[in-house]
Amino acid sequence: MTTTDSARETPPADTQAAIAFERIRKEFGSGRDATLAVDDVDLAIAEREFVSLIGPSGCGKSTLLRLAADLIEPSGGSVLVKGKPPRQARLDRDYGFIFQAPTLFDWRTVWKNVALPLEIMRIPGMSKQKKQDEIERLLGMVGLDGFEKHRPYQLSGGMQQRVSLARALVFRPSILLMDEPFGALDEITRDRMNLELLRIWSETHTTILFVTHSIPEAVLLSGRVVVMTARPGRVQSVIPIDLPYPRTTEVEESTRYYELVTEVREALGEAMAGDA
Amino acid sequence: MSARIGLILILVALFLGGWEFLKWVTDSPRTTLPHFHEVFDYLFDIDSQGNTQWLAIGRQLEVTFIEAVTGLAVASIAGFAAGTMMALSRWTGRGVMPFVIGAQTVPIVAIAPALVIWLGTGWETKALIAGFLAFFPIAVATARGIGDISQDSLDLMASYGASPLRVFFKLRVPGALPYIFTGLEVAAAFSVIGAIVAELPVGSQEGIGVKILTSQQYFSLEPESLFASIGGACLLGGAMVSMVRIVQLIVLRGHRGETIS
Repeated sequence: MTTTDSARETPPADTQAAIAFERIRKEFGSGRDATLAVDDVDLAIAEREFVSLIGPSGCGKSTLLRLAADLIEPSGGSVLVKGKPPRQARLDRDYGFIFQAPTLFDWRTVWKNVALPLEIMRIPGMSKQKKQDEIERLLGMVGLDGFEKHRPYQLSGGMQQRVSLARALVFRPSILLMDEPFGALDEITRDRMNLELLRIWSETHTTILFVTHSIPEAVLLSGRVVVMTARPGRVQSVIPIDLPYPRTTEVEESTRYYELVTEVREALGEAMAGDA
Repeated sequence: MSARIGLILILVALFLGGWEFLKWVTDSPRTTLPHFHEVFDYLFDIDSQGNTQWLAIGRQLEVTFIEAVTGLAVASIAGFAAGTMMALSRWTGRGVMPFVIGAQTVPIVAIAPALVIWLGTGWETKALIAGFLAFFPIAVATARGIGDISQDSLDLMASYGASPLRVFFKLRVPGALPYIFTGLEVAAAFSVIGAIVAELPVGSQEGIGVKILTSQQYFSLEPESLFASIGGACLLGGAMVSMVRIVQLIVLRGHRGETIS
């Protein structure tokens, strides 16, 4: 069993961590009503790594994601995204954030939803033609060609989430922060989305920090699974997933996969027991 | 579509049937409640200036229409601005709110005569009163819409490093439009009421409100005039609301639930 100590491992010195949480602490509210969401978390995610955060509800996994995204500020400790404070990383558009809800704008077509980041950001050297080609390529990649003129509410949940994925990729962020992106999808759609995500990850060389409730999903996707405890959210253990990439659904039939799922489940069980 | 036309025909038939039934049951003479066809015939009578009555009523409606539309336009701008301030800034929100509440609670029917005395009997005064009434629903709807944006959407825009101005025009305003149009529909009806009420004080020369007032004075001589004028006023209100709906259909093309039927 890997212990908390491995969470304090820093990546080799020659590779700068894509995201580094250092003794991070986050309290919501103040005074007597204050709740400690995250306490003393040290975690470094290397470039191009795929790391999943898993844990019981209220363990602060989404909080960590939002801290990295500069959507909230830490109460203590520091976060560095590509060696910069999160605010700078946000303004530099280093990351794309994907929410559990697709968060598409109903009044925009699929095409215009994907184009939204490009309308807001000024990306040097990206001509109008190049933008259009990129949107077309991404819609093809997520399997939505022919749906350009549809409105979000005309699509299924899985298709909406794929639009949201294309939208996050359109400005080519080097980091994807994904907050239970497939949590609301049915099992079959979810499996397909997972494989698509793995393919996209290997094609685009992005770093992914992925929050999930699903153990099989975490094991299938990640290079490392970070198991967290609840109230306050702490790192219980970090489990390296030594299954070779590229992975397909066949991985899910291997013995090693079962062992790892069991290992994560046990770690999660300990995390929950600590909560009680 | 044909079902809708059928429904309208049924409603018209029920209305006319109800009218005549009421007249029959209460045994009302013409000077209390004329037959509907008598009101209809009246529209084609010639008035003292040699015009048909429907044309005369139409001219009065035109005056009221201009007052109401001007009022609605002014109220739209002011209401949108006030609603935006209420939604986005707690500080200015606190400053604006008492005025908005005040606008709602002022009994406009009681205030209108004083306003006419201060500002004159010109159409601008009436437009102002119409706008005053239309302001409240627009301001409240705008405040609701601009303020009621999901945190995820706001976070999404923040993650793009979007400026507040971008967030406003790319997210808040388009997101608020369905709310704002609901407010505008109510405001359109209110603006007609406001214009008519503003025309009632003595001294006004034109407008459907004046026509209703004079028709009432000569009711025993020509009861059809009153009913024809009231009908015209109702049509005007309906036309104003329909106008807003048409704009809404064009602007909200593609918004959820907005289909042309």
